[in-house]
Formats: sequence, structure tokens, C-alpha cells
Amino acid sequence: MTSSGDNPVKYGPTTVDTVMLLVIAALIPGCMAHVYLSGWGAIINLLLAASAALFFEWCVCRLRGLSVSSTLGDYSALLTGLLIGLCLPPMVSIWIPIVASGFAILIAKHVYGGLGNNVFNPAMAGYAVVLISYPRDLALWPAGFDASHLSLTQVIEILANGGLANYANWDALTGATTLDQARSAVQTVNTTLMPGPERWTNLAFLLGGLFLLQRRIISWHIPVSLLGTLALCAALDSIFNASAVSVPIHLFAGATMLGAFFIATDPVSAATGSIGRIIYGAGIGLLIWLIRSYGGYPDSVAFAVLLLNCMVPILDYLEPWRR
Amino acid sequence: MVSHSSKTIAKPAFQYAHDRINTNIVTSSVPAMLRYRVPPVSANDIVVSTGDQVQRGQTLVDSTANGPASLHAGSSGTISMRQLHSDGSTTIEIESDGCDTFKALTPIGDDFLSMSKVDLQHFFHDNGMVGLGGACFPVANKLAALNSQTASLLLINAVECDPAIQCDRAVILNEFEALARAIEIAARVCTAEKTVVAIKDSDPAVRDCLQQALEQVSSTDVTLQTVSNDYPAGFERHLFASAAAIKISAPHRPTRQRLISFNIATCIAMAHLIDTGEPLTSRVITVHEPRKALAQNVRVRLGTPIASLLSDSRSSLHHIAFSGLISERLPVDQTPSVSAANNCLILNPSAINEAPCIRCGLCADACPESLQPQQLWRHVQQTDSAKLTKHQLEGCIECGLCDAVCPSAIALTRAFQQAKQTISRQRLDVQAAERARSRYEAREKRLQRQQEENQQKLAQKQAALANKQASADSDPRKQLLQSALKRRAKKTTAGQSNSTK
Repeated sequence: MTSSGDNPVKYGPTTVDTVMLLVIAALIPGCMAHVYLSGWGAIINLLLAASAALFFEWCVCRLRGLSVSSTLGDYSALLTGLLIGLCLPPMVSIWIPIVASGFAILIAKHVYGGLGNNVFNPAMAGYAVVLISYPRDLALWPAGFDASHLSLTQVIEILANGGLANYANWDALTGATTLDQARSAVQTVNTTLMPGPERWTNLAFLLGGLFLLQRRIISWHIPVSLLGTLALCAALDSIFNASAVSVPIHLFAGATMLGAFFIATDPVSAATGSIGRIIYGAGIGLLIWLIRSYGGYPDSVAFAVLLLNCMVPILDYLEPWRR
Repeated sequence: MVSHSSKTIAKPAFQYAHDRINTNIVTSSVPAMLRYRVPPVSANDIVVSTGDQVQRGQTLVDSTANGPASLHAGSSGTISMRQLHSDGSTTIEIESDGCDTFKALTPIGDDFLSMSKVDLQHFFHDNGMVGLGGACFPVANKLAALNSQTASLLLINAVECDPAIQCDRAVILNEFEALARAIEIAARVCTAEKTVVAIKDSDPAVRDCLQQALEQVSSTDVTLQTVSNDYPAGFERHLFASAAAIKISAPHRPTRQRLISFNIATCIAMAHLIDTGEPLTSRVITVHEPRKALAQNVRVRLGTPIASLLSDSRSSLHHIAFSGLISERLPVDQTPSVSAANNCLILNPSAINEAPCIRCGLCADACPESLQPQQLWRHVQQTDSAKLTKHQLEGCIECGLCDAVCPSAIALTRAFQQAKQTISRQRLDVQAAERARSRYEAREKRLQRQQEENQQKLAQKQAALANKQASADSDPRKQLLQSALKRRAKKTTAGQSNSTK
């Protein structure tokens, strides 16, 4: 038989590995912005978390007798690792990304049966565990551009000394993120202004998210209802409460865009029908606002997502059998 | 083709340039072995036996009129018969001698014009002529369904709505000299008052080709009609509506309304048969090999084992999609050789990695019946019949669109088919159990009733007896008699006691 020349047909549908690869590709602008703002520490976090996730995935595949090539080849573990790396503050102790990835892959993902069966978003479960277990380490975001000016050797030195947590007398360590500042009653933040430098990261994630929407990898329901609810709550709050955090800060600070486009849209742990997805997104948006405004943590995407993950079975039940 | 509502294929599922498959028709080499599976209904009509030498075109199965069309050897060689299968079907195998010699052919040419309708039907039947659009419906039976009336409209179907099927397109572009004659013959055969050739609006090459051909057709009133290319545009009933604005209500065949339709490739095959006398022994199939990025149109002998169509003989087939991208994928052991119904084969040499469902919901977006396949799949895995019924599994029309868009390559349609069968079996079991129970209960009731009746009768009889006795007791003559008897008995006992003293 002869060949028909160049491949005329793209056979069949997009596969799971292409979906995951496209999501990783869409993360790239956000990763670059994050690395630009946070310097070498961010790169080390991403590398550590991603390689730890791949390593744990490999281990668990061997243990469970799964095909290593097809399981590692779907890139879902890599994506989980990258998302964890993006959540962690730079120059955190090196074992924290490893613990987070380990929990994400071993417990949150494979204990429940692996890809497709996990109830909770693995990346957020891993992040939440380290956030609760090591609150001091996780709260230390170096101020502004200071971190990006550190050279690789300086960063490695800090990491070798156990991370930023051991530099507690360092100036300008805490309260560096806009949300932290906004929380702190002592510091006065001009709430009408745009959020701090992480708005660039958020814009980059928004860009990546729009790419995913355009490629139909994710549907609009979750991001739109999430961001809409968050903006609505923040707007109502700022009408009735003069000292409330402004809408742009809620939308473009912290992990809002990463959460709206990359974390809440994880299809496995999200609701599946369109009605369910809208309620799911709205619930996350509401919880993000509630926890940010009244909770004990400056940012809340992880908890909001995990709490709504619990609701998914009943949200799926809401979907009419036949639209 | 199975689908009822028109649906544009979801965009991200296929990126397809329909004009880039090579339209040349490659002729496949003679396979070492040809294999035909004969269904039980025509197993008695097999006219060859093991060890027979046959030539190409020789009849293997000569079924009775109105049954399936007869079957002919695809090449010359030696016959070997295989035992009956569990379903009652038989397999005929021809070990090819590699010569591919034809039997003596007798072309009838324009003599067909003077043949009676019944003779013409017999001619098509005996030469194995079936529809090549995919349904494999015997041409003779279709003509017979017209009841020797003239057809008010002949619709020639040149619409291939599945993006992977290109065989009709290849036939049109390669055998364009035969087109005019084929259309004319088809119109004459069914004595059509009007002929419409339907093509899709997105293919200018085919349109030009057919336009030229129609200019040469003089003997019949024929027009070209373009239709939109929404799946399933080539479905017969849809096409009568879109190309001729005629509505055919669901269970009826078009022939009931003096309408008839043929696939364009069927018309060409009919013309070929009439002009050369060659029975139907081959057809053109679009063969795809996704792993090798191969896609080509091949003229294949009917009965060719599908595995021999692989370009690399060392690789083994895993599963096949039979009629294009939007069709069920079947494992290879169920489907050994090419039949006239195959218009497109997608050969997948290795296992597709069926990944776990990630609940992306693409299937729900694609479903023309607006079901939630991802939820159905979950309940299929849990074998939860109640939930499946609640989620309207019965509403699945098995169109295969969910399979086509699934990123995890899950064979959803097959799972749903099996689940439907299981559920209907369960339902039948329940009904049977219910019947048995009611029968048992009825029997118990009947037995009880009979017993009661018996007891009642017994009681009545006893009562009657008692009454009788009572009435006997009250009879004065009997009383006298009895008292006399008593007295006598007393006497005898007294006498006996005296004598013993």
C-alpha cells in the first residue's frame, strides 16, 4: 500500500495526555511571570514539586502494577506538581514541596483510585496539608522584587539553611502580598488601587485560561461563575463596608486567576453538568470571598476548592437526566 | 448508519481536510485466503463443498428470491468449509491459487431494456448486487418492493457525511466516464420518472464531475441537488427530506411512496454488471491506518480478511471502526473479513489506551439526545440498573458521537448497548418470575378452592347422609323394624347367655 503523503487526517478526539499538555502549556505565561517576580526560589519550587510528583507517581505505579509509561505519559502528575510549585512561596524549606507533592499523589490521588477517581483536587489537597502543617513557613513571602534580585547561589544558601523561616529577623519578610497587607489592620492599603506586583502573574494566568477556553479544554461555566460571584460579593461588601478590600484586588491578587482557570476547572474533581458547574464555581467564589474576609488565612482558593469538591456528588445529582 | 437527529460534529473532535485523502483507487492484491460467513438462514443454499475448485465470480451461495443476494467467489481457488458456528452460521473459505481467473462472463448490455422487471430482479439477485452505501440491502429486493410500478423519484445518494468515508468520492472522481451510463442505467432499471443526484455542498470537485456527467445524460430527467454536510446527512430518510423535500414517516420504506434511492457506487456497480457480466465480488473501501498516517481508497475483494489489509503484515489488528469515525469500534475477532456493507475501515493495530474517565463532559456536549454519557458510564461501571433507567439509558440511539469525542477513548456506545441488553434481560427475568409467581399463586388458590369445595361437598354429603339417617329414624315403619331387630338381638344374646350358663 502506498502512503497518502502528508497526514491528511487528525484521527479521533483529543486525548487525555493532549488535554494535560495543553493545560501545562497554558500555565507557561503564569509560570514565567511568577518566576520573574519571585526569582530562583520559584524555579526551585517548581522543579522540586514537579519532580517529586513524577517520582511518587512512578513509585505508586510500580506498587499498583500499572503501566508506568501510560500513567506518567498522561502528564497529570506533572501538572499536579507544577500547580503545587506555583502555590508555594519561594525559598520555602525544600522538603515542603516534596511533602505537598507526596500527599497529593499518594494520598489525594492514588488512595482514591488514581486519575479519574480522586474526590479532591490533588494539588490543592497537597497544598492545604502543608499550609495547615507549616503555617509559619507558608506565610513567608519575600517582599516585592527583593526575592527576584537574589542570585542562584544566595537562594541555595538560604535553602541550605532551612529556608526563609530561619531568617525571621530579616526585614520586610511578612505582609508582602497584597492580601496580607489588606488583612492587616495596622497597615493602610489604598483599596482603590490595583493589587501588588502579583497582578502580572494573575493576568498571565488569565491569558492562559482564555487560551484553554478557546481550545475548549475547559468550559466557561466554572471560571465565569467563580469570578462573577467573587466580584459580586466584593462589590457588595465595598458598598456597605468602607474598609473592604476592592474588587480588583480580589480578582487580581492571590491565586484567584490560577484557581478560577486551572484549579477549579480540574474536570475530575469538579461537577460535570452545566448547572452543577455554575453552582460549583459560584460556591468557590463565595467561599474565597468569605475566607479572605472573615477566615484565618489570607488566601483561600485551596480551601474553597476542597470544600466544593465535597459537594460534587450532590451537584452532579442536580443535573437533569436529559436536558 | 444509526442516528435520527441531525448534528454537526463537534469541532475539536476532528480536524479533517476531506480533499486531502488520495482519491486514486489502489487495487488490493489477491489475499492468500478469502473468507465468507454465511448466516444460518442461507446455510442450506450453499452450492459448493470442501475441495471444489472455483473461479472468480462463481456462485458460492445461491439463496432463494427475496432473501439475501447470492454470494460469489472473490478469487479462484479451493473451497474449504468450516463447521457451523454456535449461532448456526457457516464459514466458506477459499484458498487462493493466486491466478484470480474469472468464470466465463456474459454481458447483457442494452438487452436489459427488453427484460421483464421480474427477470431483471432475478438477474441482480443472482449476481449478488447489494447496496454499497453501508446497509447492504439487496437491489433485487428494493426493486421488488416497488411492486412493478414506475418510481416517481430516484434519489442517487452521493453524500458521505462521515468525514472519514471517502470511497464514493474516489469512485466518482476516478470512474467519471462511467457516471453518465450508471445514472442512466439506474434510472432505466427502476423506470424513474425523475432522478435527483444528491451531493454535499462542501465538495466542488465532486460537483463539477457530476455536473459534467449529467450533461451527457439524455434519456432521463435528472437534476443535481446539494445538501448541507451535517451528520447524518447521507441517511436515506434525511436525504429524501433535504434533497427532494419529501417526508417519509419513520417505519416505512421509501418504496411505499414509489420512491427509491441508490448509492452512487451501487449505480456504477449495476452498470458494470450489465456491461461486463461481472458479479459483485469487490468494492472500494476507504482504509485508514491512523498509526501510520495512511488513508487510501482500496478496491478490495469481498471476503478479504481485514487483517491482511494492514500495510505491515507483522503488526496485528486490535480493533476496527467499520463505517467511519462516528461508528462503534469493534475488536477484531468479531469481524474477520470485508463485506459489501463496509465502506470505511479504520484499522488500529494496537490497543487504544482506554484511559480512565476524567469527566470532562465532552460526551454530554456531543450527545444528540442530550443525555449525560459520563454519568451513564459511571452507573454502567457500578451496574446500577435503576440509575441507568433513571438517566434514560433507553434514550441512547447508539450514534457513536460520544465515542468519537471521548479523550479517554472509552468505548461508551458498546458499554451502553451491553447495559441495555442486560437491563432488558433483567426486565424479562423479572417478568418471567412475576409470571411464574402469579401462576403459582393461581395454582395454590385453585387447589385451596378445590379443597374447600371438596370439603363443602363432603360436608353437604355428610349433612345429606345425616338428614337421610334422621329421616330414616323418623320413618315409623323403619322404627318398627329396628325395634323388632333390637328385640331379636336382645333375645339371642339372652339365649346365648342362658345356654352358656
